[in-house]
Amino acid sequence: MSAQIQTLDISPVGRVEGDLDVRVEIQDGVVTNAWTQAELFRGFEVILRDKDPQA
Amino acid sequence: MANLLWLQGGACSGNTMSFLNAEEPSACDLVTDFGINVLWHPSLGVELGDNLRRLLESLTSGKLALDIFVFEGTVVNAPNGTGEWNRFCGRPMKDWVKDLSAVAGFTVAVGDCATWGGIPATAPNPSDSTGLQFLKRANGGALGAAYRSKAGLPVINIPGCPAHPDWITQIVVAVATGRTADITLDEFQRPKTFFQSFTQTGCTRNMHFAYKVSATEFGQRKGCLFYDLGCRGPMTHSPCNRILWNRQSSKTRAGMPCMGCTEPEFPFFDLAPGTVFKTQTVMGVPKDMPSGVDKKGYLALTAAAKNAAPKWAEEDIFVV
Repeated sequence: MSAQIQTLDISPVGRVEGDLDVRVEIQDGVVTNAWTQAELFRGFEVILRDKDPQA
Repeated sequence: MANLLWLQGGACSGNTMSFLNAEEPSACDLVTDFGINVLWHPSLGVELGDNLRRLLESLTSGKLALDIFVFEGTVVNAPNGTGEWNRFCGRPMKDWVKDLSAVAGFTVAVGDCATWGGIPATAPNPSDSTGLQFLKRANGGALGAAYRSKAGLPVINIPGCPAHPDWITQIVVAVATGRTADITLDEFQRPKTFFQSFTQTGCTRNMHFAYKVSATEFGQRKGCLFYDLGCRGPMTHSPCNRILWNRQSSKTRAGMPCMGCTEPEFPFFDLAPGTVFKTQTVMGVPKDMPSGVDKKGYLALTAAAKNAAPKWAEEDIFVV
């Protein structure tokens, strides 16, 4: 029988530019799965549409 | 001892980088000499996750006093007013901003994003961003025009892209040492001590402005950047040529036009093609005049300037 999976949610992770969250799953003291999630979307790609790169 | 919390919304960290370069006083001086207790800052804070959440909740519940709340970046409202596009510590940042502003002794917006919306609020403003108490020129923003911090002041706006480091630290010191009576704010809630004079005040190209001798490319040592290259120095409120950058230079001193980044409209003309680094004119007359000058006055001034311009003004006088 396998050990229980422990989930750790860290929101936010500090000292990174932009807001970042991390979720990890731990089994028998070993990280078995991990996700990062960007928590900020400003849409610069949308703003830059139709702008002239030469200004 | 004054507790300071610094958070970032729709930001790039540019104002944080600027702040960390402060010299008079430095970021370290704030802590060692001026009794400022930095509770948390995105680049400096030790707490992560739940530990930070507990700290923030002790502020919003009033258990711990929040004397100075500094916000960098826009308040993101998208999608559909939920603010979910900028989550922090388990909930939309805009909700933290609202709750923290309500308990803050002073609320300080640092940089264009937090003051007026800045780059993220450029059309079409995909993140539905606002500044803390303004969106561009319109009073209101995330906190509403009627917002007052516990000390009875509206949001203190320190604009710039980024704000000069010493504007930030000097205002924080004034607030922390109880000298807010010395801070008077202009109509856009900017401290007048920094934002009543113009970028042009102290510009080394003022003689070239006076004789209407134009610079034709970046980095040129002769010539004024206003006539052709779109410099906004004569109508932008900032002390960039009085409180120098890195204590030694400014955009205009280096031959780069002022982009007007301390004004609510920045970036001007929504960065439409042909509007950047190019003076916008109608029949040869600039659309945006030096502050307070009308078209008739401008034509008289420049005609006289051209007639009077000495030969040396067209030459590079900095060559030995």
